[in-house]
Amino acid sequence: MISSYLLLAVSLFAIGVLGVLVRRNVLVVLMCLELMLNGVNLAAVAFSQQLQNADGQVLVMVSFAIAAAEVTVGLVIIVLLYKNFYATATDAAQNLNG
Amino acid sequence: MELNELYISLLIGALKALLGITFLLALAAVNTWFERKVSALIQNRTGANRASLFGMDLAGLVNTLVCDPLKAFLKEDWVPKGVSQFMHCLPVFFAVFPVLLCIAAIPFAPPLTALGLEISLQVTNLNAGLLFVFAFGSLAVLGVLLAGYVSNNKFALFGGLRAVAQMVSYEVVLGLSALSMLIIYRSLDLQDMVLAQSGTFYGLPNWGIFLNPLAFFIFFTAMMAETKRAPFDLPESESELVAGYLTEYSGMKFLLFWLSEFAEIVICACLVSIIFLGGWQLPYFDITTITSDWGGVLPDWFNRMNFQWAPLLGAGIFGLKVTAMCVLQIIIRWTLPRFRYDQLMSFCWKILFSLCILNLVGTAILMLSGGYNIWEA
Amino acid sequence: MGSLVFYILAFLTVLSAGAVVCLPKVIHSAIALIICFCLLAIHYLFLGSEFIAALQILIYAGAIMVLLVVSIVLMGSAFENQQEAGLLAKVIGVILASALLFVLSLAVPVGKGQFLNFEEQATILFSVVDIGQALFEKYFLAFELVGVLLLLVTVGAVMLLQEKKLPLPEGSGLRAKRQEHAKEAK
Repeated sequence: MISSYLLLAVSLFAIGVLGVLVRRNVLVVLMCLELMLNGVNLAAVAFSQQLQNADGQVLVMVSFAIAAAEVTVGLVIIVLLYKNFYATATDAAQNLNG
Repeated sequence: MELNELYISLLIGALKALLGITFLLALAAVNTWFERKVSALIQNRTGANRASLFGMDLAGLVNTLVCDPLKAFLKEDWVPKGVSQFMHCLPVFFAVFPVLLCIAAIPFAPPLTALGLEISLQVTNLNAGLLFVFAFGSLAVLGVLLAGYVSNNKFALFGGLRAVAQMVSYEVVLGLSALSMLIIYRSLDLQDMVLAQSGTFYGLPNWGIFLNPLAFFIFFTAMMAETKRAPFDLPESESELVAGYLTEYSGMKFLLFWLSEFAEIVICACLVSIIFLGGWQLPYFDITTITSDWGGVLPDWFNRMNFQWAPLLGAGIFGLKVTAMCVLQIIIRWTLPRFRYDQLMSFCWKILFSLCILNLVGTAILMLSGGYNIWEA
Repeated sequence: MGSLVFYILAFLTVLSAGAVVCLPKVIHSAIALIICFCLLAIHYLFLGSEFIAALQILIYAGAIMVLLVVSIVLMGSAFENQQEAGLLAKVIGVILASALLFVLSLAVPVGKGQFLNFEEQATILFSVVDIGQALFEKYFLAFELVGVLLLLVTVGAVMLLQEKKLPLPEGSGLRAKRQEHAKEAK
């Protein structure tokens, strides 16, 4: 059973990587980062059930907190990008001043 | 688990879910009637009394429960210009679905022993029941936000954004005030919380409201703000924003939003009854000690059925408490004027949040020093 | 019976994750991600972790996605002339991602002839008490550090968004940039 869950987690991670590589919109890249984190969380919970140990759950809780912090800071950076360049493309900020 | 046992447990679960949803929706519908009639009483007017069925007016029940839904069903279902039908329907789903799911964690009565099984009258006894209710409450925020966005309307967008800021802020306060009660009850399972409120506490019943009255007021206030009831109803403020985030919704979609709001009132009342008012317990009397024969008063053929009085009585008591809390919320709505937006946000973050932290520290100190000796017989 | 439910759920999860990547409009991707998170919560319930399932909905679908949708709502006007990647970039991306998928799935312990065979094992239920004991006894340092991290992020986010009202030259404000952008688009 755990191998099925691990395969699902791995496919979520790979889809997240695909999104980060292919999409040019910064918000979609952030969402695919969240997908990758969720793939890892699913793997951790699957292992925690397999080993019947609560350590995986603690890892997932810490991962939740860190993901929330990361999204906050990421969105702050995106808002500043929007204010300065009026664009949310990943190649918006490619020229230096002067 | 054998297939037979699986089917029986599935059937029992389905029956419990059906009962729970019926209770929730019926009480939500009755709340719409309460809203119209109780507000009429408070504002010294008659209320809805125009519609009648077979000459019977039924004190406005016909108007509210028959005519209003019928009108909503028969209205045209339209979407604003430039908005797809799917996107316009989606926020309704996010608003209604989580609220209806909340009833899964609510315990109605003490466990029932039938067919050789002990059936707890809770749709599922989740170990983290309270946390699930909060999780579904936070999912409802998305419904409001998307409703404001897809309406292609600046007023709706303002209403949606205001609602999101308000709901997210008051969720923090809600969680913190429930956390102080969690310290006392030592369990997130709602049935455990009800069971912990039996007995007495320095002469008063061992209910949450006597153990921690500050947490009751904070929780009630935060829950009313979370469900966007007045005096916190700026998101749908009728005199300011047309109808806030509900502006472009009419007919059945509007009725579903309305239903979700009234179902949230019921969920709020259920939570307050369970955490602070003792749930299905009577004060000073443990209803699980009622034997099925009432001490020899009832005839013998009845006694042989081994009818369980405790679950029935418990469900009735719980229903009464929930109804009382619903009426209290409706009375508060029609008594207090609306908050201004900056007053609302400063009230949450400066006043309620600080009080919550102080409450948490005080409860922890009292708990560690043995003041809450509810765990000793 | 359990395996059929798992396969349907897993298919829907992968479908919604694919929808996040493939849908052209950002708001549709956000909704697909919300659905993916709710399906993942159901997966956590099947793995006996009720606490984590509740937290998943509370934090991811209820807080992080709300933040993302609010930022989509407020910054939506910048997405209109978005240039998506060319075909070559997409093909290379797909090749790299499938290579990653292949390599990672080699690490998954699947027995011989047992591919996609979902055997149900006895699952234990992780109670809140178990997780609390692990968190406060074994991983207390992690708990405290996470608290410090959240404080840092809160203060940092507010600090980064402070606007210093300095006198700016004429054409550098947001309104001027928007007008310039509109003029260029014509």
